[in-house]
Amino acid sequence: MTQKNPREFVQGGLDLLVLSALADGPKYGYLIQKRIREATDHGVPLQAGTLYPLLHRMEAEKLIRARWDDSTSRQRKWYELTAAGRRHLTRQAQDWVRLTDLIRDLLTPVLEPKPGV
Amino acid sequence: MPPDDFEDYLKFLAVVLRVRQSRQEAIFSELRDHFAERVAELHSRGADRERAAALAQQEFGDAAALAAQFMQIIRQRRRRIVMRSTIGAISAVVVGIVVTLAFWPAGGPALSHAVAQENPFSEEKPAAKSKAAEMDRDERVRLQLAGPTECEFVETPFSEVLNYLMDYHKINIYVKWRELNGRVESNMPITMSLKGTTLDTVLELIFAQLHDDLAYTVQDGVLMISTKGDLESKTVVQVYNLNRWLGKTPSKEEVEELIHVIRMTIAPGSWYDLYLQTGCYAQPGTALVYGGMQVVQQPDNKPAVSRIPSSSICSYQGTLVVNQSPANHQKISDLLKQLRESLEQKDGK
Repeated sequence: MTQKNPREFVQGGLDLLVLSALADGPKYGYLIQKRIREATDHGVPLQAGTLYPLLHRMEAEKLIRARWDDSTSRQRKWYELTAAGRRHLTRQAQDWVRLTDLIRDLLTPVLEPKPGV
Repeated sequence: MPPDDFEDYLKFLAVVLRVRQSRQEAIFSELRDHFAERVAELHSRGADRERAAALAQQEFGDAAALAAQFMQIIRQRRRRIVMRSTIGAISAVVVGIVVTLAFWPAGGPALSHAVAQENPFSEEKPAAKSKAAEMDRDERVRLQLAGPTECEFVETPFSEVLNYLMDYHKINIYVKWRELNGRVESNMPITMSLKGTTLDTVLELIFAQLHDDLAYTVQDGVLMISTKGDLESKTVVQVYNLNRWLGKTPSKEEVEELIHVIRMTIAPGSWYDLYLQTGCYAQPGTALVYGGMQVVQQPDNKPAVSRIPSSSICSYQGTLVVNQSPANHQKISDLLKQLRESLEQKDGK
């Protein structure tokens, strides 16, 4: 597994959430936030003040790309995954799954102690 | 909380967010869209409009903190561009060194060549000099100006752009900030993405983004940036060794002829004696005033003040002593080079 410090993991976790929200197609900021809120049962309150800088950073890193839609009365910025973003999402998802497996293995005995131990 | 309060929030954000207007507007459009959607959602769930707007705005957090996050992303993007450009420049230099070494004659670069290069008025015969040895400092800069460059700037401050160009072309660039008098600031943003365009074109395009009155010239091996007026008004004296420039010592008649050619070809209106001969100063409505300035009555009766041309050219023992603006010195050098090439072709060299 890729070595990461805890801070990188938290940052990477937010990236992962946003990238996974875009995995099934383009969305604008508000829809991304809504998707994350619903998918995590309101467990991850990704606020607008956190979301937009994060989207702009990932756009600068070319993990996502954006286009403007002027067809409605309001200008709307739609985001979608780039090929690099999709690869990054896959790698990060693998890292997280491995990490959670390791932690589960470590914590399961704590929660379910074997008799006589 | 009415939506006007969110506009106040954006106004405060605008003060802290120091980016180009178009970029700022793009960010604000996106935030406005989110705000409107969120207010509508909260309202549909039962919150009154004012409460919904207050909650929606709260989710954006402190404006200063939000601006700081955006600014950090923009700075990182700029750093990435500079880094990429620097790596490109280093690669170009490495490739240049490898190519130079690959094609260098056996024995490597000789010390005498290096010395000749530093001494443009060397007594060594021009025909015997290598191309590299003939290059003086100004010529090296001019060659870079005519050569291709590569740049990708996204709202990069003018000073960083200049640092990048200095690194990439290995030349000195000096900006006469005092002459620019605040019309151009070092932090003014430049956005440009070009490959293979000559450096002089890139400079012209950069100037077009900053101010109409900007110009550059090459002086003492330095690319000097200032106002057009400043660069044209100040003259410097340069001595041209005709033997070196033309590859032979011209006769007295040939020197006179050459002076005539230069004065008629390069900025004819700038030569003081030619100006007097053509009688410009004696035109009706023209009066001489102090400090080398004149007042000319315009057709619309408005007086215009202009500087009297002060450039001069004369010969002395096989040299031309010329007092001209740096830009016109460059033109004279080009003309002499062309004349030499033409003479060599004529002589069948």
